[in-house]
Amino acid sequence: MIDEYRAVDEEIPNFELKKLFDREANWLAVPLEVSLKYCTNCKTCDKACHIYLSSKKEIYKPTYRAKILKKLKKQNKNSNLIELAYRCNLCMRCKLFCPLSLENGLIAREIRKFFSQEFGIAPKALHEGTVKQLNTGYHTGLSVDGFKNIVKFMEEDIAERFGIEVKIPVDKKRAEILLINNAGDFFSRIECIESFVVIFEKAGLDWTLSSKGDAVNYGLWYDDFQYLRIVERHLEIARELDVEKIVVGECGHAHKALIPVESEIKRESYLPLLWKLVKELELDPEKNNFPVTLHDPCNIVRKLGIVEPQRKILKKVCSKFIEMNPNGIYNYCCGGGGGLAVIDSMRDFRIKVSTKMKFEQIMNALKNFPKKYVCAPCSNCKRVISEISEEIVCVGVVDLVANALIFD
Amino acid sequence: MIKPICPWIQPIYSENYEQQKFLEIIFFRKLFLHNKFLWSLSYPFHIGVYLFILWSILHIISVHLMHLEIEAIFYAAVSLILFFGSLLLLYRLFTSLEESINLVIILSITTLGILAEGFLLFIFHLIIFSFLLFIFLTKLSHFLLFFGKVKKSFKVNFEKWNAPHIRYDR
Repeated sequence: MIDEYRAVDEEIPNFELKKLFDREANWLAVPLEVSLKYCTNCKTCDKACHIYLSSKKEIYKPTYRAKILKKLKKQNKNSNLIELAYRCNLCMRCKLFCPLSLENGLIAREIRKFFSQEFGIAPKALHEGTVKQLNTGYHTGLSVDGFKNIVKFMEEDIAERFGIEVKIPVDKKRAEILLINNAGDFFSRIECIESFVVIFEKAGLDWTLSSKGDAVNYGLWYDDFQYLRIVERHLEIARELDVEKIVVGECGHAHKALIPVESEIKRESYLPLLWKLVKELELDPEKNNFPVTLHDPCNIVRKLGIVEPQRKILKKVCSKFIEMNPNGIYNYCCGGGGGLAVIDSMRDFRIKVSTKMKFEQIMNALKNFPKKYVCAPCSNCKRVISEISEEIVCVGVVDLVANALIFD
Repeated sequence: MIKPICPWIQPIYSENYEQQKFLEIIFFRKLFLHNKFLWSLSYPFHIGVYLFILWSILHIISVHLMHLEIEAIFYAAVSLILFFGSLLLLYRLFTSLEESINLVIILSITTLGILAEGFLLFIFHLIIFSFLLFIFLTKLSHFLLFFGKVKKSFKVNFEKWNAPHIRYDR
């Protein structure tokens, strides 16, 4: 027992870690070895890790996992190694601080991968999510009929909220843009998808939604095989519809999962596209006249380097935009990264430990205002941040843009 | 109709990557920004190593052009920096055995270097030079990380892993 939380229910068998370092079996064996071998124990990463900063516990240090892994390389004994791997948000802030740019987050991810690929041991929420997604296209298990009903509801809701009649394109062949979004948004944050619809229709884009799958890829957090299968599924949807490119909607992990992979199909983040649209659309920033701060999702900002578009958009559509400190690539993770947001048994860990730094940041940025409006361009972050406190209202970038639109 | 931009033709990472790498190698920028205490210990040691490499190159290129006295003063200064640098680092990083041994060796060589005079210089130079080759085999070769690129080839090998879902045929 390392602490009172549990991410995995299964019993861990005895294991040998050889495979993790076998270059034939593991394509990340070299960076893993480098990260383990060259760490000079300078402890600079301690100052970067929000989980360690908020708890000050030795076991949550980024280097602690590496230390245990090194010991186990020789001893091969059962331990709480897998639980340690699920005490990390994989936000890679430690890599940014490390003088040698070593990846302690990668070590955590590789440990998760080892247990999943060798024994099939992983948090149920993650593995069931990937299996459902491979079977139905949606990690929530949504069916095609269910999806079409939601689309119908969205059309009615848009007519009510914005006063415009739209026909949402679904599975349209040879469209220019295929928009894929988190399926969770179809249930809990339908206004996010509606905002996309309103903005794209207003801009007159040639676009479509797909009924065959959502953007989420849980495999990114724990298993290479599930990860690649889902990526391939996403690309297959784009091939079937013969679209020009995939635009990844408000989901940070989907950005990281889909955009850097090599493929003949073009992929882009929704943020640069939205900035381009915002420059040309008629907008009234006074419609968003409340103070709002911006959260930078690790996958979009730190890992993919998309830093400026969301800031430019907010400056254009909000009259009172306030930056958090630290911001940009130095931001703190929301506390739900690396799958912790979807593992229900880790809820206490999120509330007591991993979201603490984000909470402090938000409170400091908006201390003079009773309602804390936080703009988070990622559905995972939105879910976790709105869980932190009732004072916090979490919105997406597209919500603010749609709210600022001027209709004739 | 508005034409969307294409960000995939733009570089994802920062444009001044080379400049940042230079700042990192010469001034230890990240350590200075995030861990000033360790920087104050580590910087003298590393700058001593850099100066030593510079001195070695000068020595090889123009051993006959330089006066022996100037060379001796330069060497003594470099040795002093290395001596204090490695002493301080040793104090900070004594937990790791491999690093400690390496630092003790550097420390002893520089101590001898400070004491050395005249012809003995050349012998000490040879000792330290051979040691520099030796540290390529140890953790102290971490400077190589700035020059080599870790190549990631995205391949997965189905045969090597045993979990039931790996062979789940889709």
